[in-house]
Amino acid sequence: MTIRSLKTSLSDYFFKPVSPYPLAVFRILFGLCVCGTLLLLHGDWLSWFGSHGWISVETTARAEDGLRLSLFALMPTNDRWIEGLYWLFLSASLTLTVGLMTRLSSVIVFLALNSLLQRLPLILHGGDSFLRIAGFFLMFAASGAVLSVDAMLGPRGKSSGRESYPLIPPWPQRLIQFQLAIVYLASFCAKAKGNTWWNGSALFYVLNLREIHRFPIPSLFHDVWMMRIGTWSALAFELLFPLLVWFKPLRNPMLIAGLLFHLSLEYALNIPMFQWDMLSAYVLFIDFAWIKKATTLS
Amino acid sequence: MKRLNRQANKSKNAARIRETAKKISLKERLVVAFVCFHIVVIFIFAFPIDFLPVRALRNLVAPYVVCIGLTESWDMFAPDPKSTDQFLKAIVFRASGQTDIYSFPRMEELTLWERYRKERYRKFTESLLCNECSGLWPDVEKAVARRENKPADPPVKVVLIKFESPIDPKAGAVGDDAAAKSTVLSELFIQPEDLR
Repeated sequence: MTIRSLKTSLSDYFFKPVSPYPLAVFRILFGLCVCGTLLLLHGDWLSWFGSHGWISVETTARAEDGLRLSLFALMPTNDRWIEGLYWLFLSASLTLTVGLMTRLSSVIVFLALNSLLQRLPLILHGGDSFLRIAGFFLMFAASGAVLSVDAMLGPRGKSSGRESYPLIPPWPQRLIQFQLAIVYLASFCAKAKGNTWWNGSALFYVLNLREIHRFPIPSLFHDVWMMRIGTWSALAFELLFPLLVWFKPLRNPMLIAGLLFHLSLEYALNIPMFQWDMLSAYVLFIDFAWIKKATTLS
Repeated sequence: MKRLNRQANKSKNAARIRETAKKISLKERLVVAFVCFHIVVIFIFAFPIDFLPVRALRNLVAPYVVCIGLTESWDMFAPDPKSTDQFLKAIVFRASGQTDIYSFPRMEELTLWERYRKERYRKFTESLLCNECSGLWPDVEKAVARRENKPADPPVKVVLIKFESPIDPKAGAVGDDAAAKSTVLSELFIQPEDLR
């Protein structure tokens, strides 16, 4: 492969227009994940973010200096406003899910996710961070081109309904895919520094952290060798997924392995929404060519 | 005259096309720059590479990255998972001399649904117990005092206590509340204005 051909391939990969379906499906799943996150936060919204929350605005500002993009900072420190912000965030995540005023909704959803980070980073997990970063790139994407209210109300939707879909620039989708791969690779690199991941005992600690338990683990998996195999499999997956998912023949096996990995974590560990946040981005790797075939046939 | 007009129109069109092409290529270049910049940024913030040029670049772009929240360390259960079972309690001393215990929600004591809904408290407690988090404890003590406030017998002091018990595969230890070791993290005398 010459440098010129590599440059052309990269240019095509990032800029050659593609089907809008993967991004549209991602938008829907992403919106649902944000809705889920916000609904779970509802009961304690003011305890975390209110004017008399666990950590005061002043303490957060002292701990995290510099300019921060946060709607909490623009609002009066008043619980009514902060509650209003909750409903604004939830409404925007719902309109994003259905694709109504998609671009504006995506901007508000990103601002919401970033505001949560800037106000109280202590309670956020990796899934929230992934949503926030994906949300940043989603603002630049034409994610409402299909499967959205905007598309139905637009000129294409009104005309016949049989027209083929518009192609969209893929670079925001590629950046989200890149971010997903980086999550696994960075996680692998961080774990590679620890002894327990290499000697195979890490899973013993994880599964015996009572605070994070969910459903009971079958006794078969408490065997020393099963623990070792589980530990090494997790490590291997986090290394291999970001390296191999880009190659078409290996893509589906990697996505299936990832699906099994996250579903098993969802069963065993109580980390709300994390697995779904990550899995939502898998659709960006799926080829939706069958939709084109189906619309052509119809 | 007509020919002259046609020629003038042609040259105007050509200039317009050139202008549009220039605009498109500028837009494309900006997009390429945006994509490349963010790939580099995501990479250098995800991997803490301690190499001078990388460190310098990280410092240079940090204000932008922090402002829009593109930072994350992706280090859950890393480098090693926690090897201790930890939880936090607060003792509330009242004006009358009575004491009450405030327990932060513990996931293992909640129902399945409550555990899912209240998980942020687990993360919160874990974050509070970090080595550089002592600056957050007074806020937590004041918040406990507000939650436990009885106007007839207000809190005058709150003490934060950490409990720890080991998880050890060799010894088969999996966390035991009865044998948990307690450590006083901090204590704060509550002022009347803290209760407002």
